[in-house]
Amino acid sequence: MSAVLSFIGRTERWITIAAFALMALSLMADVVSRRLFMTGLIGATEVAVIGMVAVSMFGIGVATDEGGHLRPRLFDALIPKSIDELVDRLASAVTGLFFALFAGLAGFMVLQSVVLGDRTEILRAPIWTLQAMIFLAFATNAVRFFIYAARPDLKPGEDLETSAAGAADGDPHDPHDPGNHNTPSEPGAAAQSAESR
Amino acid sequence: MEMWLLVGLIVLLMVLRQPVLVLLGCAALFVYSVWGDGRPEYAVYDVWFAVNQEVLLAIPLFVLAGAIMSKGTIAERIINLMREVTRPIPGGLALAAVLSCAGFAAISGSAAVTLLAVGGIMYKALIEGGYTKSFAIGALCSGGVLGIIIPPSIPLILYGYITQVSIAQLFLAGIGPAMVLVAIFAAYGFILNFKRREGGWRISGFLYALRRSIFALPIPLIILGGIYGGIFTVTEAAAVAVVVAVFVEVVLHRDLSMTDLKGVTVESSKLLGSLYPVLAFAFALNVFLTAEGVPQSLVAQLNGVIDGKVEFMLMANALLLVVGMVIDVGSATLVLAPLLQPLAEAQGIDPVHFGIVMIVNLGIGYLTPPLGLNLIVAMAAFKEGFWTVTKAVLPFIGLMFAGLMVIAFVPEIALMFIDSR
Repeated sequence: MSAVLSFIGRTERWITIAAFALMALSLMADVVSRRLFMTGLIGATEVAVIGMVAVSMFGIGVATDEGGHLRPRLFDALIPKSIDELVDRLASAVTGLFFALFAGLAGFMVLQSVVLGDRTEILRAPIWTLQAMIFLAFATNAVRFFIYAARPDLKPGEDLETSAAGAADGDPHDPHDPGNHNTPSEPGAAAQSAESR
Repeated sequence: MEMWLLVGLIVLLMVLRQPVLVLLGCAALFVYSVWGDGRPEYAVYDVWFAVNQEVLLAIPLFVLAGAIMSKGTIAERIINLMREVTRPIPGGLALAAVLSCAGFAAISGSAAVTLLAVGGIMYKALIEGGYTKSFAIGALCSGGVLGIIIPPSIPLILYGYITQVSIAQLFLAGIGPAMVLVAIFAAYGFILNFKRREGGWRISGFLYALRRSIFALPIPLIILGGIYGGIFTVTEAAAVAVVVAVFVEVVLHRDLSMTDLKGVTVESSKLLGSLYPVLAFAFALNVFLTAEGVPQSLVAQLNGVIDGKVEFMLMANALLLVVGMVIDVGSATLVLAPLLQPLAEAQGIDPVHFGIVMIVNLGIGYLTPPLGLNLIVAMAAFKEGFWTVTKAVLPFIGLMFAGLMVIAFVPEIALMFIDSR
């Protein structure tokens, strides 16, 4: 299970890095082309939007891996300590069900787009290939949370103070991954992490 | 009956420790299934439409640019210059702290990033300079809030996106209110620390600091000058900010390695991965509410009850202050802006002005217990207890509130740069 989480997490991190590069470079190239050649790059913005869809969707998994999702803690105190672990497992199972449900709906949307043959406006790329990112993102998160329900020890913590201080609470699944840089010497990154709550 | 079922479902999910994205997603599913055409799949179509929008491109790129600049030494270089500039002024170090926050805010777009980037260096300097711990914490926490008021600001982009108000105009409108708040903080620091001076001018120190910050200082000018000079759009400005940030930190300053860059990118993905699904499900709810005519009927009902601009402004600000205490700025903006903005417009309030009032107001929420984000960040960054930090920011909450009232009731402050264009 740990290996599955590690594989999913590492893949999604690399996708988001590539997507960020795609966004910044395509838009920058568009600006440079417009200034130098008086004409923008056809489809540059569309490419950047594709990158954004990838970052926003696969970023859900990156946030899950590091306990970065916003959560209201209003009722946390109501749960007795004795059933804390049970509630935690239940919480993971419910979140997993939610993601599985949305993965199903996203799968339906993808199939509809395949049938209708929808394409993007400028590059004429099949829309289903882009929508498939939503399906994959929800599906991988469903897998994550079902694994957390079965193995709560693999679930990352969501300690705000630790993250804000930039303490090393990186990916619990793959401590040797160079993409994992949540270290104490990163005030900016820590703030980004805190801001996400 | 269905309404109570929805409320019950949300409460149950909160008891079951579900994240905000699950709460909003379930609410979207519920409304489409029960009150819509019984088509829950519309919720996922809305998610697709929400994330597939060109206008949102600016957010991830400004987030990444801010993260790169925080990780490097741009903040430290700006601070050193501000310290040299304000040396001979009474309470100069306090002024340097506020100006550094303002300077860094102009490139970061985020309150907590600004607090940590500047506070990490300035807190120690203020304490060593004889300033009280309470003042240092308060000044840095409130200075950090300038990060979401001075352009580029991520909450202003969210407001513009969800209400269809021009983001470029919102950015321009943020400048005047930010100047008001900087002036208030600076005046308070000056009065409270009148007897504290760092010394006279040091021309060599100033020139050294200026030389070190020579590549950092033009960044806000490139971003904002490019937008308002018609060279590029807000979205393109965000991409330019990323490329400039990478060039300055990796190539010119050589303070950031490619490995650091990768780590910063992953951190930015994490932030966006928590923000975008919330945004997408809030968008889905907003689409449903608009299709059902909820904002319009709310406007019609409340217009009869609310008597004029002043009453509306007071009521809206009271509501936002309470909401800001318990909900983060992004979620509050996405949920409340589509409901409040039509009401404001119906009362004759400029939507750009109202957007600024809303963000300044919710910005106070960064300083208010129990969930003020800057309080929590400051606790961790300055290694202080909750009550120490909370007591330290109290006078600054008062100052920000005074500033908010001025900004709310003198719309020219926000609109002067727009009107003059």
